[in-house]
Amino acid sequence: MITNSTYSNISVSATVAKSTVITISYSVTNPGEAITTSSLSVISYIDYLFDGVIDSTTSGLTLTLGANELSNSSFFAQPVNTTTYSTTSYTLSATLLDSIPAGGYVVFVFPSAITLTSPTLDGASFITTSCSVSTSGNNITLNNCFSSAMNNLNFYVTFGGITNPSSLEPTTSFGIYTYGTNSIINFKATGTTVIMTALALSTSFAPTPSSTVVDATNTYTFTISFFGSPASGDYLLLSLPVGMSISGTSSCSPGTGVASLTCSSPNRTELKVSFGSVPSSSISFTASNIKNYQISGTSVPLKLVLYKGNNYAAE
Amino acid sequence: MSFTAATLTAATNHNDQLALNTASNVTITVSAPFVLDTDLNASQTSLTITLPPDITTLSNSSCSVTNLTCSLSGTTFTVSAVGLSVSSLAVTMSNLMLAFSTTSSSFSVQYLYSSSIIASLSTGLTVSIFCSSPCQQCQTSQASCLSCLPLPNTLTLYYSPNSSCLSSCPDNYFP
Repeated sequence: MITNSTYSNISVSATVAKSTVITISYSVTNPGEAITTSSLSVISYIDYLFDGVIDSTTSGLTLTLGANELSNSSFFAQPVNTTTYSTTSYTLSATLLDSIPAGGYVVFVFPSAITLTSPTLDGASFITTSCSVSTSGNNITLNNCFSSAMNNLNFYVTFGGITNPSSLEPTTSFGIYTYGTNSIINFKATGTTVIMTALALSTSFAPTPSSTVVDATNTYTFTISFFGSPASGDYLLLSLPVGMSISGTSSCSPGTGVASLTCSSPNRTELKVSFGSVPSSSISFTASNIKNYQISGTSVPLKLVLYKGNNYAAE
Repeated sequence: MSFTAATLTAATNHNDQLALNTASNVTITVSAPFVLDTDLNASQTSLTITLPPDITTLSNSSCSVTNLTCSLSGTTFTVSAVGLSVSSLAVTMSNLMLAFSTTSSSFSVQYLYSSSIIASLSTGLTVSIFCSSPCQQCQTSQASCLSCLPLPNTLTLYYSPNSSCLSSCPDNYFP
């Protein structure tokens, strides 16, 4: 029989034999943060004329509490611009499970493919005048925002000065961690990614044939200035328009900015240029046996795409 | 980027002796330097032949090409849907009139895709008169006249025994 119950004490009265297992179940409200509690105390008394302690345990009975993880549909990241290399604003929105107490703070983890160029707090679902933004690696921490508890669980922040990934490869997950004064309250570290949808334009691309006569098969000189910095293992894919083609096998020779490269033709309208060394940001090379467009006076697009070594397009 | 047109191969033929100031026929045989890709649409190809300024059309001028459609607009003959391959294509233009010169300036021939030029030729494609002035029509030799050019090329038409067109009547002859 339970004889007394408050927030901190529960008393149970019964006559039990030695070594009897007593199970007491009761509802409590967990702490608001992921902490390890101080120890529960269990004390048995004899209630006969006077209260005398029989046994007691006052240490080692701790509870370790985990943070609440947000569900998969509760945390989103959305850039304003989804072009590779673009420096833009990202809005991170979350439906929190718990309020952030006064003095709490929030940490955002950005994927490694995203660069925190010059992060600024451009907007939020709460008053930001007192907020301070600090970065460490790819983490942004918002401090000093909550002088009182932040109870609006529809939470968002917008950061400017964030530079997009350099390719169309899906990013790793963003992360969000809300903290109380001591430890984590809510978090989400998986499943929130972004994918770029447009490629940055290379700074310049100039194809120059040795002959401009229609249908002539000749050697082209390509001069390229990249938007980003190509890395070892990256490659170029040249796509010819309908009416142009590669006659037989095209061979390539390096010009400036790249020590070695090789060419192969996946088909008669595409030329893959693989770098044998890390190219500089501006290069030139020649490719033979490219047949000119068959119609004069019409502007035809030659498309050149830089791919990362993992086959995701960059620019 | 864009490209410049290639050069056509073409030749004129006027077996019926293009006579001065007389309606005559001219055939131009055309070959393109390459075959167009099958990705292109043959119906958008055409061949145009533009007359030089010293050759004019008459009201009954026309053109013909075997198995193809040819039309005349102004001084330009157009063969529609000429195809992705043009090899020894003969275009006959009827009832053309050459002004008073013995050799015309060049016809201009263009092989087109839509309105863009694939290949062209605008030099050296001329026709010459077989007869020598003042013969308008001749026979057996360039100076053996069947008829004479009108005034002012000859003052008076006289037919000499060797079929020359003369400007005045020789002694012992009468007009």
